[in-house]
Amino acid sequence: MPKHCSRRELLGGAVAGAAGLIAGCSSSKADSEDSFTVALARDPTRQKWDVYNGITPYYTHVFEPLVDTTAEMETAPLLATEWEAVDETTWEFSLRNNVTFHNGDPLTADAVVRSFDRVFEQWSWVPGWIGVTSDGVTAVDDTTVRFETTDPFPAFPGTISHQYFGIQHPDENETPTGTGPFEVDEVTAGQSITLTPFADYRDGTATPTELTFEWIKDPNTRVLSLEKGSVDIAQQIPKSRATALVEASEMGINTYLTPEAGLVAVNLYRSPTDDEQLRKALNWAVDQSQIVENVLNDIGKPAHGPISSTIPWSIHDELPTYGPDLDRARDLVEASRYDGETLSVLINSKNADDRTIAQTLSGWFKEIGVTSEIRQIDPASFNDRFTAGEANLTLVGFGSNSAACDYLIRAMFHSEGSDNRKRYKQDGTGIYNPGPEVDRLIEQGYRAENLEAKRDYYGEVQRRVVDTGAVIPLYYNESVFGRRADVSGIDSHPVDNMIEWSGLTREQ
Amino acid sequence: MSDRTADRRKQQEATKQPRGTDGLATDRLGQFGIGVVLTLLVLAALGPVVSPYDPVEQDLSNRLESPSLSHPFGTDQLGRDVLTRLLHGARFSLGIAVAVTTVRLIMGTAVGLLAGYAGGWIDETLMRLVDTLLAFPGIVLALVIAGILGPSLVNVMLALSVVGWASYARLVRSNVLSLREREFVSAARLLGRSRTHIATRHLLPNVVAPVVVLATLDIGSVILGTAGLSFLGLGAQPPTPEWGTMLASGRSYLRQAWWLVNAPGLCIMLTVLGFNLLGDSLRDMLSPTQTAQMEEL
Repeated sequence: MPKHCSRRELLGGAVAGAAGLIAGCSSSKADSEDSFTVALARDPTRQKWDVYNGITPYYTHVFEPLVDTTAEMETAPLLATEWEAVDETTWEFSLRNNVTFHNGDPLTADAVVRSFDRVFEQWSWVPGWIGVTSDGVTAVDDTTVRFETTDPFPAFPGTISHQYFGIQHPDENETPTGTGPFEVDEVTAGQSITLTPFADYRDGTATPTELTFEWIKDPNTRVLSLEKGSVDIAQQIPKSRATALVEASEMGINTYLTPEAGLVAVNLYRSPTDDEQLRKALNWAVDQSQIVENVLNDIGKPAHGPISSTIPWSIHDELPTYGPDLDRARDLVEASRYDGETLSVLINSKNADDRTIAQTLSGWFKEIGVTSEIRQIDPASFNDRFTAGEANLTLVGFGSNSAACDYLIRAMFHSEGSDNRKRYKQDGTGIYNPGPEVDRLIEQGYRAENLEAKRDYYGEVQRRVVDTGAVIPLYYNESVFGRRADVSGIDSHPVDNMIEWSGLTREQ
Repeated sequence: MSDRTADRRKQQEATKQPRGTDGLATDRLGQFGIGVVLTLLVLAALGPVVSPYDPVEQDLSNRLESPSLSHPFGTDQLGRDVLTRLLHGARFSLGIAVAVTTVRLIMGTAVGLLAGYAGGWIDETLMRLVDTLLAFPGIVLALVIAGILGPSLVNVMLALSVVGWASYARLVRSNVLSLREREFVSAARLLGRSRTHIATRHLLPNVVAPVVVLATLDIGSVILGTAGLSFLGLGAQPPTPEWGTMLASGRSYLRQAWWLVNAPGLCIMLTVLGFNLLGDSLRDMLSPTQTAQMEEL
């Protein structure tokens, strides 16, 4: 016999259904006041991170390296309490006592060796990058690890402060296991990582009871998710949206000056930018303050040189500034061999800010009588086109993810650095490497044993690069994190991968 | 005169004198389409001449100004007048659309005529090529071609031309297959006319009408394709005031300056709508058989 619903039952059911629907559609934020969701711009579980059992070593603080990078971009003890150069090419690191992995196993020198070996096995380019041979990491005893470098390399401790060298448990079949303040609770491939605080962490348990890193690729969707409240913090907020977040009462932003500099790499070996007068003219035409103020929404710092002022050996404050002075720029164009050729300007199509900056530069160049043509290149082939020397001017941004930023200056201005190597080997030229004298200065800086000496050598490189117009410095980048207004405790750090979450709290 | 010949004459007359002027006079949507297209053509021709602003010159002190009397569509992130850029952009969009459609039309008609009239292995070979091209999503293939050739408007035109001619070839071939069996073609053959003469003087004039209609409908898709590829950075390069490029640049300021995205978006939509309505109207003026053929394509 069919059962009929009364009007009251029907109404009750409808109300319950609607309530369920609203609950389902509402914010997905976890119930607990101490759980937080961070939106990341890149997939934290992508295939690249298989070497760490499928999670990114950036942001998550599941793994810790031997050496820390301080907010001043200097080295500090982390899993290693101290280190010393036994001779020119040998380093020994003493491990901190009583450190345990998330599964309770103690941290040993053998575990550190295995962790490095694992990275070397998966990424064959890494030993060359940090200057050790693939069998150059050995355990001296239970608490001492030795590194043999191929050449004298005083910046070695800073180099291994990179999060690529976070120490992981030797058992490759386990879930990602490190020694950091957070341990892995759940990994959803292609979507998110959920962490919980490591109860036995040596510096005390982190505040958040749950921390989720969710991949939201599109910047506008990240902002919308923040506005909606489905995430608490969003990384890489477009600078054009930052002002709106500041003005909204329920949201806010945190900005941090990073070690990244945005600049124009000027091709020294391609006509007409092989003419120093023309390169100087281009520099005189550019107003860095206008770029920061109008294009970057006042988020960033006008640059004087190619190395961000956050890096200890940057000589930003001592470098001369060019202008802007359009009259002087015009005079220099007149004095140069420039004959109306169109300069090619290469930009990476994924960088919206670069598109606007390139147009701004193009407008200024036009005012001094220099024509230019912008070409947007897809990210996959951008670097190839740049290092092949296809353009006169290329908008690039370089930063460091570790305390040792030596590789930056080498990559950019040494003839055998990664940006110049291809052309240098082909025909002895390059892109924006001023030549043998600068190469020698970089090599001396690389071997310098203290900051003062390093600053002398690298400072001279910066001065020469700016003097010859090998670059047009634009800005030092600030990273932008958006957050809900009630979220506090985001620990600032110039390297945004290293920002800590242990003190996150939500104000009532 | 046999009954068959009489019927055929009637059919031909119906094709030559379809609903014609009457159809357009009562077709409100068609009139709207023509109105939009004519307005765009006039604006593209005269707008840039009368506009007081330069489409490329930046004025950073006036950036992101909301619509006003001096800037009816506001200014962009570099202080440029959006209306001026849209008017210049109309020249690019319409010019590219007409050029690409013309190339597609010529290529497709030539291939379809050759395949339909020559028959045999030539027909087989050309039609398999057409099948292959139609099997790919056009915009994806255009993306690949434009990606390989490098970012520029010329390369986008080339890419869109290469991928779009197959529909014309298919339409022309199917028309030619029926036309070549007709008595006027047999008569020309018996009179000793050359194959080229028959193809160009007897077949080609009879396939022009449906091809023109298809081209009108196609212009809209070319405008969308050009804007799409430029949006992805493969087409027009900044600071060229092309509608797709303007959309891409304005996207970052969507919440801050809604006009930067809405103005070019509306222009693209109206233009495509105008050409589609015009094409539909033209198609309705043709015989039902040809309408059906085009709908199949």
